[in-house]
Amino acid sequence: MSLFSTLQIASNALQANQVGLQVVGQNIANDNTPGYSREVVNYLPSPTQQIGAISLGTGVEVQGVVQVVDQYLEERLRGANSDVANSSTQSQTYKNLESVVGALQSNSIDSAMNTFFSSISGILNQPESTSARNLAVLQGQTLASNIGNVATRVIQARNDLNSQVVGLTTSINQLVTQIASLNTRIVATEGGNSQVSQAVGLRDQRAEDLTQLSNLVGVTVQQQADGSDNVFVGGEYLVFEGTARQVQTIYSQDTNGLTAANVSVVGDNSPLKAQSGQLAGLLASRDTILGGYLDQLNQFAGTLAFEFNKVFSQGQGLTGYTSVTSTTPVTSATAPLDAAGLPFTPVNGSFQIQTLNQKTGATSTTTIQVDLNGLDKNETSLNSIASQISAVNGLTASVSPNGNLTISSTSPDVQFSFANDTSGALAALGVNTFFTGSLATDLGVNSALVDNPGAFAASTQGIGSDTSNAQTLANFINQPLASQNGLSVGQLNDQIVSDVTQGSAVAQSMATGDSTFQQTLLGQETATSGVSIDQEATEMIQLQTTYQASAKLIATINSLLNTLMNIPL
Amino acid sequence: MNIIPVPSSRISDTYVQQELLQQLQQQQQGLSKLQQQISSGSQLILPSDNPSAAVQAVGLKSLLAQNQQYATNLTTNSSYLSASDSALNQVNTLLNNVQSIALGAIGTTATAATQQSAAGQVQNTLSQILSLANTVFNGRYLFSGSSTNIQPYQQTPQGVVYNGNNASLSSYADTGNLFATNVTGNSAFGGFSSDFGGVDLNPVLTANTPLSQLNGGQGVAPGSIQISDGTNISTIDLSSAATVGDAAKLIEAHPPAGRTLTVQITNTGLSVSLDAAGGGHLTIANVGGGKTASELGIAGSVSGTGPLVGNDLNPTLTPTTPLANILGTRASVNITSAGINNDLTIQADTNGPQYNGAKVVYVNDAWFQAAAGISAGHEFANYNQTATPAVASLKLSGPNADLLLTATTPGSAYNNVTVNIVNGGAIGDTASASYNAGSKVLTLTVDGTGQTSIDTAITAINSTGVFTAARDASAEPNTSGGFVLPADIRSNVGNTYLTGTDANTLAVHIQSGASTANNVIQAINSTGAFNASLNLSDLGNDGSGAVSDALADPGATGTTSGGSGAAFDQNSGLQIVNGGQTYTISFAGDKTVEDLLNSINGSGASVLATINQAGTGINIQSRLSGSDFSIGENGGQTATQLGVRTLTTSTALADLNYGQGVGHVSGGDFTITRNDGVTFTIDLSSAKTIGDVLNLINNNATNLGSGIPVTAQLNVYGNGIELVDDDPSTTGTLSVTAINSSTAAKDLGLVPSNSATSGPPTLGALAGATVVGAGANNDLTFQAKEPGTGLNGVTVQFVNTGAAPGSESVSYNSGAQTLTFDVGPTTTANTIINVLANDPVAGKLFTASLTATDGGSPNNGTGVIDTTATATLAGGTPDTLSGADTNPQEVPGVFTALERLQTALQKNDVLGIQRAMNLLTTGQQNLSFARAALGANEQSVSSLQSQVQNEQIQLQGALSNNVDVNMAQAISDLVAQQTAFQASLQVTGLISKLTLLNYL
Repeated sequence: MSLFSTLQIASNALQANQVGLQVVGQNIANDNTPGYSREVVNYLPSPTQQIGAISLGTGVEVQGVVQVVDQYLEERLRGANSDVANSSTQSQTYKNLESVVGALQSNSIDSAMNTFFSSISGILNQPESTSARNLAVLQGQTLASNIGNVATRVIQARNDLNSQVVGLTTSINQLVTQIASLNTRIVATEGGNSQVSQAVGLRDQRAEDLTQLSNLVGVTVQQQADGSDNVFVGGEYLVFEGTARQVQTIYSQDTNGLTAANVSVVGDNSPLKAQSGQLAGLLASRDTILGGYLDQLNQFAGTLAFEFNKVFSQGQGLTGYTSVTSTTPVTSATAPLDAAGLPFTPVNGSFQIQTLNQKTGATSTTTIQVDLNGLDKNETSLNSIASQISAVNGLTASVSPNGNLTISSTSPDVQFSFANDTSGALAALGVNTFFTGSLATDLGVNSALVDNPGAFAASTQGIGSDTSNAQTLANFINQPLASQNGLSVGQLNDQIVSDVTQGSAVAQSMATGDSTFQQTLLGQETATSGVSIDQEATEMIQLQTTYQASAKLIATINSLLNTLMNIPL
Repeated sequence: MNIIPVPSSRISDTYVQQELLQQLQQQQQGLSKLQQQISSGSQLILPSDNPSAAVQAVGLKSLLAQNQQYATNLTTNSSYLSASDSALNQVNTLLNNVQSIALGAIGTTATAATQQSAAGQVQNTLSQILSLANTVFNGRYLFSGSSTNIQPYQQTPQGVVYNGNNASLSSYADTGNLFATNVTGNSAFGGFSSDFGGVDLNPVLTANTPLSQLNGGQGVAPGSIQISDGTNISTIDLSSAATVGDAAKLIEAHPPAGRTLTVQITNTGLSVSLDAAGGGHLTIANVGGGKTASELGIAGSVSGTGPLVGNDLNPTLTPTTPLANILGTRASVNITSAGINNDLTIQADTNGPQYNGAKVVYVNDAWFQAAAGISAGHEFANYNQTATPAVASLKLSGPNADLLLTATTPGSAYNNVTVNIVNGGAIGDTASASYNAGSKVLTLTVDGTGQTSIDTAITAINSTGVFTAARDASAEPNTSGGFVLPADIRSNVGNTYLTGTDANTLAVHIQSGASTANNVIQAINSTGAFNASLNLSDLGNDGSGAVSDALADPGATGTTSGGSGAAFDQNSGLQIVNGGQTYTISFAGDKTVEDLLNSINGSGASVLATINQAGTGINIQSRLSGSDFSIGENGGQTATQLGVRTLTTSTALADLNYGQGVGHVSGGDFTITRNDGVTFTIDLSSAKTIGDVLNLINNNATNLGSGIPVTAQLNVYGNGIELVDDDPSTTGTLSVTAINSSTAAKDLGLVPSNSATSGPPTLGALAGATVVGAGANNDLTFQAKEPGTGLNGVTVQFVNTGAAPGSESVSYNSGAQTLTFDVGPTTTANTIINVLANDPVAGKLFTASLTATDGGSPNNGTGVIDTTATATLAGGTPDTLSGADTNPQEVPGVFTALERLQTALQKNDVLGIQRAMNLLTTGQQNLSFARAALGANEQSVSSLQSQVQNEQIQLQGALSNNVDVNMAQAISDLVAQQTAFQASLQVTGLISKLTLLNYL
C-alpha cells in the first residue's frame, strides 16, 4: 500500500473512463446506423489486495465492451419479419387478383354474363331475326373470351410469381454464404469468449443478414456457445457453423398442367418446407390463391359450358344442319362413352335426331339409345352412336381417326336437328352445342354457330318453330343446377367473386396484424438496442465527472508526493 | 390506423423516428385513399375494401342488368302488341261494314244486282282482312303464332289456308314471369277446325320405352324400391335407369341375398318373379316417401315367388312409336332355357288374340328320321294350326330295314311312346304288333332268328290302327327287302319323344345342345307368324348359348299369351275431302306414328295432324277456311281405328248439316225399297244419332222379314250412310224415297237435295274366276250372272267320268259350293261353255267364256279340258246405295264466314246468307275476345313496365348504398385527417428538435 498504488488506481480510472467515452462516441456516431445495436462498457472493480488484515480495492477495470441485444427478441422479430413478408406477399397477390377479376368493372365476367343472357332474351323478342341470334353468339364469344382473358392474366401473374421464386434462390444462396463466413470470422475474433470480447461489427452484419434471410424464408436460428449461428428451415439446415448449404430451383407440374417452381436444398428434390417468409407467401399466392382461383374459374367455365350446352343441345335453330362435327373428340371410339376420355361424362339415356326433308316437309325422328347402364355388354360407344345414326334414312355418320363424330345428310334437301337428350351425350361430345372447351382457357363458341347464327337452338318443337328453348336459356343464369347442389351459374360466379374478395380482405387484415406485431417487436427491439442521444449525453457527463475526479485524485497524490519530496532530509 | 404499444423500458431515438415516420405514412395513406374515393365517387377501390358490400354489389349489378333487359323486353314487345291491336281494330271496322252491307242485301227490296255488288264488296273486304292478317311489323308476321317468319294466311282457289300455328310467343317480364307477346291468327281470325281423333291408340311397352313416357306421360321418377323374399330385403336404386329395360335389368341385378329375380317386360307392364326353388313370398315396396315401385306398377306382394304382374304402364304415343305397336298387343312368351345367353322372347307378328295359346316347343330334328337330324345353323320352325302326329324312328340294324312310325291320330297324345321289339320264337316271316295305351308301349313281336321281313313288320304295325309304318330311306337306300334281325330284338328300339304336336304349336327344329339362341331367332323370324328376340332377362344375353330339346330341357317351352286388340289397318288409308277435293291418303309403308303424320300433313289436303295433348292418339284438323272438310274411310278401318272419322255412329243427328240437324215428320220420314221389291218405312222420331238411324233400318221388322235384308252402314269409302243389298234379284231397285214431305232423307244425305228419290245404286260386282289348264285353247272364265257375294267361294271343278261327247253335264251343289262338270277324255272348252249355258239350274247362275288368250296365243276353245285344273269364284259384291256426307266440318272464323257469305250472296241463298251472318257474328265475337285479351296483355305490360322501373330505382339505390361514396362523410373525414396530419407534422418537428445536448 502506497501512494503509488492509489495513483495507479486513479490512472486505471482515467483509462476506464476514456474507454467509456469512446463507447459513448461510438454509440452517438451510430445513432442512425440501421441494424446497429448500442454498446455498453462492462466495468469491474479490480481485484483486492490483502495487506495484513485489510483488503484494499485496486480501482476499476474494463471487463469488456458488449452489445445490448435481447437474443430472444431478435428471434421473435425475425419470425415476425417472415410472417409480414409472407402475409404481405399474399395480400399483394390478392389485390392483383382482385383487379384482374375486376368484379365491379364493366369488362368483368359477371357483366359479360349478364350481357350474354340479356342477348338471349333478345331472341325471345325477335325470334325471326337472325341478327338477334348473331348478337347472342357474339356476346357468347365475348363472355368466353372474357373468361379466357381473366384466366390468361391469372396464369401470367402466376408465372411472375414463379420467376420471383427463382430470384429468391439466388438471394438465399448469397445470404447463407455470407452468414457462414461471418460465423467463422466471429468465432475466430471472439475466441469463444463473447462475454469479454465481442466482434460487434461482424455480429451486427450477421444480424442484418439474418433479418434479410428471414424476410425471404422463415428460418430458425440456433445460437452456438462459440458465437456462431446455425440456420434451419423446416428441419433442413442452411448454415451450420461455417458451412452453408446452397439451394436450387426445382420444377414440377400442378393440377392445371402449369409449371411450378420450388426451392429445395441442392441434392434434395423435396421442396423446402418454408412456413413463412416471402417464399412461403409466393408459393401460397401461386398455388392457393391464384391456383385455387384458376381451379374455381376452370370449374365454373366447365360447368357453364356443359350445363348450358345440355340445355342448348335439346333445341333446334331457325335452320337445321346438313353437316355437323362434334367439337370434343373421344380418346377411344370403341369404349363406352362414359369411359371414352370426354371431359364431361354422359349418363344412361337417349337423344333424338330429327330429319326434315325441305322439299316434302316430312320429318323423321329417331331415338338414339345411349346405353350406359353398366348392366350389359352393349354399352354405347361413339362408334355405335355413329352406326345408329347411319341407320337413319338420309343421314350418314362417321368417326374420324382423332375421335370426332361427323354427321352429314346424304341429300341437300335433308336437314337434321336434335332433341330430348336425356343422356348429356350431345353436350359431352359437342354436337349441337353453344360453347366449346371445358376450361377457362379453352372456352369458345362452336364455330358452326359463328358461321351460321341461325342455328342458335331457340326451339324445342322443331326447326324454327318456337322459342321455348330460348326461354330456358335466357333464364339459365338463375337456373338452379342439380350438379352444383342447386346453385345457378350466376350464384357460382358470385361465389367465386366472394371468395376472392373475402380472401383478399382476410389476407389484408392478416398482413396488417402481422405488421403491427412486427412494429411492436421492433419497438421493443429499438427500446433495448437502440441508441438514445439523451442517455449517451448523460453517460458522457457521468464519465466526464469521474474522469475529472480521478484527475483530481492524481493531482492530490502528486501534491502529496511533492510534499513528501520537499521534506528536508 | 395501427396503434403500436409504447415500450415501457426506454425510448431510443430510432424508435422515436420510426414511430413518427410510421404515423405520417399511415396518415398519408388514409388521405390518399379518401382522395381516391372522392375523385372516383366509389367507396370501393378494390372489392376487398368492403367484402360484404362488394359481393352484394355484384349481385345487385347482375339483378340490375337483368332488370334492364326486362324493361327492354317490355318496351320491345309492347310495340308488337300495339301493332297487333291496331291491325285487329281495322279488321273489326271492316267486319262492321260487311255486316251492314250484307244486311242491305237480304230482304225483299234486295235485287240480284245489289246482291252481286254486295258479294263483290265482301270479296274486297276479305282481301283487305287477309292483308291485315298477314301484317308484318318489324320483320315479323304478327299473327302466325310462333312461326313468325311464315306468312300466316294464304289465299288459294279452295279457300284461305292458315300456315301459322297456335303457339304463343313469350318473353320475360321478371325472373320466371313470362308474358305473352303475340295473338295467334287462329284465336283472332280462326285458322283451325276442331280436331278429330284422340282415340287411345294404346302403344305397347317395350324395353326401350323411356320411363318418362309411362303412366300417360306422367312418367316415373326413378328412385329406390325394395324387394323382399320374406327373409332378405334388397334396396334397389333405379335413379340411373332411363328406360323400362334399364329398370328391369337393374332390378334383376340386385335380388335379395341368395335369390334370382326375373323381370319380364310384357306388352303392358312389368312382371317380376323370384326363383321358385328358394321359396318365400315376393314383396315389392316403395322406399321412404318415394313412389317408384307404385309408378312402375309393381308395388305389392304375392303369395309365393310370383310372378308379380304389374299394372298397365300406359306409355304415351310418341312420333317414334312404331305403327305395329299400336291398337293392341301381340301374344308373346318367354322361353327360358337352362344355361346362359339362350333365353328368348317369342312374339306374334301381329296384334290380336288369335295367336294366344300357341305352344312353343324345341324339337330335336334327329327324332324324325333314322339319319342324323339337321346340324346347327340349319334350324327351321313351323307354326301349325292343326295338330301333327307323333313319329318314332326305328333305326334297325340290317340293310333296307329302317322304319318310321307315324301315329294315326295327330296331337301330343302319342308322344313318349316306346317301341319294343320282342322275340316271338321261331315264327318265320310273321309278326304281330300291339299297343298298350296304359304303358304307352308299342310291342312288335318278330321271329327270333331274323326271318321276319320288313314288309311283314310294316303290315303288323299298320294293323294296330294306332301307328302306321313306312320305310325310312334317310340313312340308307331303302325301297324293298330287309329283315328285322335278332340284334334289333330289345326294348326301346324307338321312341316318339315329343314329336307329336297339338294344334297351334310353333315347333322349332333344332340340333339339341348345338343350335344357339341366335340360330333359333333366325328360324322363328322366317315363319312369317312369329318373331323372336333375345330375352333381356338373361343378363348380358348375346344369344350365343345353346338350346336343348324339350326332353333334355323340359323348362324350355311355353305358351303365348297377352295378345289383344287388332292390327292397325295401315294400307286402306283415309279419304279426306277438303276444299271440294278428295285426297286419298295411304299409310302403306309407314313405319312410325311420325311417318303417318307426315303422310297426312304432306298430302296437300290442308290439314294438320298431330299427336294429341294427352299423348294417347292423333288428331286431325283442317287448316282451310271457307270450305267443307271431312275425313272418311278409304275402304277399310283406318279412320275408325284412329278415331278420326268426321261422321261416326255416335254423331248426333242434331249436329248434321252445320248444326241444322235432320228434319222429321210424324208418320214416317222415308221409305226404302229393296232389290226384291220389298218396301219399308223408316220413322226417325226415336233416332238421336247416326247409329240409331242405322239400327232403325237394320232392325226394321219388314226388312228382317222375308228375303235378304238391306244392311245400313257407314260408307266404306268416304262418309255418309250406305245401304247394302246383297239380293241379286231385280224385281225392284234399291232406293230411298222421301215421304210426307220430310227432309230427313235429304238431311241424312240419302237423297239428293233436288229430288225426293235416291239415284240408282252402285251395282255390285260379279263373282268370277278363271280356270287355267295345262295345254292350249282350254282356259275358261266363269262368272256369276248377278252381282252379290252369294256365289263367292264357289269352286269350279272337272271330273273325268268318261262321258261320251255330247253327254257331258254340269251340276251345282249350293251346300258344298261346287260347280262340277262331268267330262270325257276329249271334252273341249267350247263344249263346257255350251253345257253350262244349256243347264237349266247352273246356267241361270253362271256363265262361262273363253279367256282371250291362253299361253300367249288367242284362245279358240278347242283345247281339251285339263281336269286337274280348278278355280274358286271371288270378287262378287252387293249393290250399294251410298249417301252423301251431311256432316261437313269447317274452320270457324271470319274467313269462313266471309267466303260463305260471298257464295251465298252470289247464289241468292237466303238460308246460306243467314248462316254466314251467324258465322260472321261468332267470328267477330272471337275477334273481340282476342282484342280484349290483347288489351289486357298490353295493360299488364305497362303495369309491369312501371313495376320494373320502380325495381330498377330500388336496385340502383341499393347498389349505390353499397358502392358509392358518401361525399359529405368522405370530405369531412378528409378535413379531419388533414388536421390530424398537420398536427403530426408539427409534433414530429418538435420532438425531433428536442435533445439533452441542447441544454448542455
